Formats: sequence, C-alpha cells, structure tokens
Amino acid sequence: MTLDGFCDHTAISADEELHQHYAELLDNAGVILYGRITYQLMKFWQTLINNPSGEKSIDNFAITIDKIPKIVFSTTLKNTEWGSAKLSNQNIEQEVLELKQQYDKDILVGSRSLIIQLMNLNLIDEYQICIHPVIEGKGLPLFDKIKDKTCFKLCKTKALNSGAIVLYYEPTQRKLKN
Amino acid sequence: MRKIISFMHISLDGFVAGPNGEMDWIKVDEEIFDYGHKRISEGDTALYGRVTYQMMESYWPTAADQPTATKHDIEHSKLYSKIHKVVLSKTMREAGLTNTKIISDNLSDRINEIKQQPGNEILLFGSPSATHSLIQLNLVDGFWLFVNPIVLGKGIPLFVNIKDKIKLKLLTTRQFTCGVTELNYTVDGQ
Repeated sequence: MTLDGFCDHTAISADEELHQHYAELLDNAGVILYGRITYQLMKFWQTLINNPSGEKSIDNFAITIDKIPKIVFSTTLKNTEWGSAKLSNQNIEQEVLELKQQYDKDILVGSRSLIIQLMNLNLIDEYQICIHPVIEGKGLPLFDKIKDKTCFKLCKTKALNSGAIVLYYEPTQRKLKN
Repeated sequence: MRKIISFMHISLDGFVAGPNGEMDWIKVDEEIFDYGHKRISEGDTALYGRVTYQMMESYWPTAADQPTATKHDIEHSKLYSKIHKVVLSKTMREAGLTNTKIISDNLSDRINEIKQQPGNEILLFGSPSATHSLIQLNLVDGFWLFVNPIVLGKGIPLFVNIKDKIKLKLLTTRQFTCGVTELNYTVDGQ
C-alpha cells in the first residue's frame, strides 16, 4: 500500500527486488485466494508464460504465479480460463476454514476485499504490509470498513532498496470496540 | 534551506488521533523517548498548531517541577523552554509569550522566511491541522513517523486532500521492542 494507505498497483513501479520478494513468498505457499477484480488483473501474467519479457525477475514471477494453485471468489465468473485457478462457490468463511485444515503451507490472501472480509472474521494469522514510499492522495484504502479497533504484534520488518518496507504483524487477542 | 519535518505517531491505517482526538493508543516508552530525544534535541526551532501548542504549554513548562517528574520529563521540559517556538494560529497573540512567534496569515511567505534563516531542521510536532495546511502548500520536506501496531478504523488522518502525488525517499527505519516502527522519509525531488 501507499504511505497514505491505498492499494493501487499503478502507484508504484515494481522493481526486480519486489518481484523476487513476492515470487519467493508464492513459491513457499500452498495456495492464493483472489477476488474477481484482482484475479482479472493477475491474468496479465498468463500472457508472459507464452511470451516471456526477457527480464528474468518478471519471467520468474510469471512462472511462479502460474504454478501456485489459485482460488477465485466470484459470483459472476463462469470459469477461470487458467488451469491452476478454480472458482469457489462457497462462502469465504467456510472455504477458508476448510483450506486451513487442508493445507500445511501458508494460504495467501491476494485481494484487498478478501483481506478486509477475513480480517473482520478474525481469520488472518499474519499480515505482511508492504508500505511504498509514496503519498498517492486517492484510491481504495486497505483498511476499509474495519469494524473494531485492532491491535497487532510486530514480528519483523524488511526494508527494500526502493524504499518500500514490509511490516510483518500478527493479530493479538485484544479487540477493542470502536 | 532549512527543512520542515512532520513528526507524528500514526496508526497502521494512517490516523494520528481517534475521532475525538484520542491519543491513548500511542506507545512511547523509554526506548522510543531516548531515540527520539537525540534528534529533537538537535533542533533550535519547533513548529506547532494552536491546539498542540496549548497542550504542550499546559504540561512542559512545569513538568520538571512535579514531584513525580521522570528523567524524560526533566530533559524534555528543559528542551521545551529553550527551543524557539513557532505557532500557527489565527486567534493567538504574540504579546506576553516568551521565545514564541505566532503566524496568523501569509502562511507560505512567513514559513519560507523562517526556512531561509540559518539553523537546523524544524520539527513540526503533531499538529494535524497545521500539518494538513503545510502539506497542501508543499512546505513539508520530510516525515518522521512512528507507526503504531494498531488499526483504529476511524479518526483524524495524517494525509488529507493531497492534490498531487508526493514521492518520498525512505532514509532510515527502526523497529522498537514495543512494536512501533520508525519510518523516516524525505520528500523526493527537493
């Protein structure tokens, strides 16, 4: 997100280090969850599988994102048109509870809307918030429609050369009514 | 030219206070105080909005004299009386105040005059409304933020009515034991 809290992939230009960081994260995870909007955005990477860009970090990320199983939450999509992606027709709470049983590896949540829903359902075990060094002024806020004031435990931070910094948090039990 | 640096405690969702000005969620312990004090004590000028200034005035001048005064109180009280204070206010008057300048109009010109005087960086302590005005006039040159491990959900945001994207450079960052992260930025291209 931007320093002023917005999710907007056009606000930054992702460099090699950022692609590597997220490729590593995806390589070590079991599955990634998307909402329709982010999923359709991520379909961009499919084109790079057959037509590589020639830039290693970008092409590697394409291979990684192609490989990881994807679950898409949508009521309007008829099919995913991507072999490694499937649609979920369950409600998200039920699906995530089942996935937690099914996977030993991490379940990544790749969409803003899903992060908000799962945060409100108390189903997120770790937050990795990457703050980019820019104040955008407008966009979709990450922490939108949050019901309760929520305290976290800071686990670690990772600063990238671009000036982005990833903050790793775990939720605490302390939920305070707003 | 001297830089104006916005010094703020913020929540992970970008608020500097709750909807009614609540600041009880802000963590400042000895580790953060000692770390912050180093930079603060290098300054010769401090900038405030009226509300923050009045809050400071009601505490710091006498903080060192209280029987319960901590090391922190005594050190900061000394610093507070010594530092040259600049307050943005349309209603306050300068008469009777020591070591304090009031800016009530021509904000841009008056601040630029101060920026052109010799001296160290100018810290803008808290003061969300004053900070909003100064950001809109492109007068803030950096952000020294202490990100608290909390999502408030609502409150007074640090960034409002930003017309043009502001690019930053991350200079330093530090992780504190209590869960706060320091993010020290300078505005890029200035």
